[in-house]
Amino acid sequence: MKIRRYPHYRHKPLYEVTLSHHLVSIVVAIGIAISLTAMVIHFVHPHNAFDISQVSFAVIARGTLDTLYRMTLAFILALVAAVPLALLIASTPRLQSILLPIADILQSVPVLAFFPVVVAFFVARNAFELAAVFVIFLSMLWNIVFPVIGGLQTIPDDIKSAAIVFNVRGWRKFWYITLPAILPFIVTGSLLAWAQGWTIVIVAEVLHTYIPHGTASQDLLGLGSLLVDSNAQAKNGVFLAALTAMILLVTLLNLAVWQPLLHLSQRFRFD
Amino acid sequence: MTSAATPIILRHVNKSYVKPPKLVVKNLSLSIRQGEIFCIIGPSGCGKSTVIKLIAGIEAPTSGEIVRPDHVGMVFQSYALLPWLTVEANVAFAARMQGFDPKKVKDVTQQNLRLVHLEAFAKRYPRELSGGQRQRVGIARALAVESDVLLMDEPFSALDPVMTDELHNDVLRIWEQTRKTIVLVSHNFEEAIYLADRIGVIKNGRLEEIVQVNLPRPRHDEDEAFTAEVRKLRGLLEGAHATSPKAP
Repeated sequence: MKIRRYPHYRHKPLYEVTLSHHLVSIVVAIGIAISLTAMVIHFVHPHNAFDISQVSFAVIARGTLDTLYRMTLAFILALVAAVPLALLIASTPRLQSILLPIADILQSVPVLAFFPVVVAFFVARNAFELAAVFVIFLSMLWNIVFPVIGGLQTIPDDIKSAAIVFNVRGWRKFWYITLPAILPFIVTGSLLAWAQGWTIVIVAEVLHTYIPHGTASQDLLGLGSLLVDSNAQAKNGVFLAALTAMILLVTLLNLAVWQPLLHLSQRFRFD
Repeated sequence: MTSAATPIILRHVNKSYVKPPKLVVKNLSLSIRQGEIFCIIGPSGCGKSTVIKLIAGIEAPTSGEIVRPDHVGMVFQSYALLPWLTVEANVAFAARMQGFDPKKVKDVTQQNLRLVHLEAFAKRYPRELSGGQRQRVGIARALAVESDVLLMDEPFSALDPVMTDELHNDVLRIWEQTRKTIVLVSHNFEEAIYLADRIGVIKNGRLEEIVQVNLPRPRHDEDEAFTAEVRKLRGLLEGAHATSPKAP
């Protein structure tokens, strides 16, 4: 059923908006709003107390969501930091020759080596969640920065010349040319970042191993801590359930988010 | 300041690069007249692309003076279309960036797509088109700027001969309809003689000579007069070669 023709952007072709488009977007918008609210509530009032000897499916479900929140927040922060950082590093050949080696060294230092310091810093401020998020953020950051630097170098000289001739400068150049051009590299970088994040989250939620005389009560509830603590206590049922939840979540994200984004981003590649 | 009769003037222009250090344009002075097709020709690496980039404002001269309009349209060898925008959106984008209001953007886009016979391809993406069609989009986009000057940097060198012939005739048709000043960079003698009113021969960054082509249009590349002009032009460039010291 056709409702009406909307101009998508002033310079873009018109396209048909149907009733199903509206229904789907309403459902998606409500879903995003609920998830973001739950995420904010989680970080404002974290409830991390759990007893590994008595774990129900509800606890595993909450742990799965909490891990997803941490990963999502860390990813948003990494994305917001990585793109300007990559633009800065690649901005001039001179700056690149200085900053690129520094970035190279920083990315090759294992994130977990920083972890005790990070945990001590945040725990002193009673910010357990932020300790985990910060370490996941650090592990994700460079996975986005380097592909984006590479992506900036794929913008052909003729496109840059065309931007000058057609008066596309400053923010308009970033918005209409640079950002679309690096989009495929942001997507592939994000995929790598999430893969790295899943590895780190296992360790990042088990804070007590980084706190002197720490106990399991200082761990954050999440898939990582459930996996580690259930293994330590030989709770094989919990371990398998948490592992299954993680595999399901990763598969779902891949099918619902990354595959469609990878497909879409092909359109943004220069031939 | 630009006068109506000579929209583009270069006075004693030099262009050098620091890395690697090289003087690519040497003391070049040139006036391009309103409404003419001016072809810049020369061997690879002679600096002809740099000259058109200087005229386009893409590069700044190291010394000398350039008089040019604030806005020019330009066609690129590699088409330089944005792959994420449709044909229509690519053309509209250039118009929009000139600050035209939405109504004018739409009108200019449709008018120029019609001019290059691509109305039927408006909703396609560049990668769905042939090389010739892509370059037609490039021409429509350059015209959407509504400048009196159209610059073309080796626009046909990536195309096959049949497509090149078609686009030559398109350019002449558009020129006859719009009477724009066209500056074209080429390394092809026949192309230069077929299209141009005047030809600037560049060798080692210097403007060696300006050749006036007095053949009436439409020109035919089989005609004796045409081949004579091509021979003359070839002689000039090869003559320039002969002045360089010969190997023992």
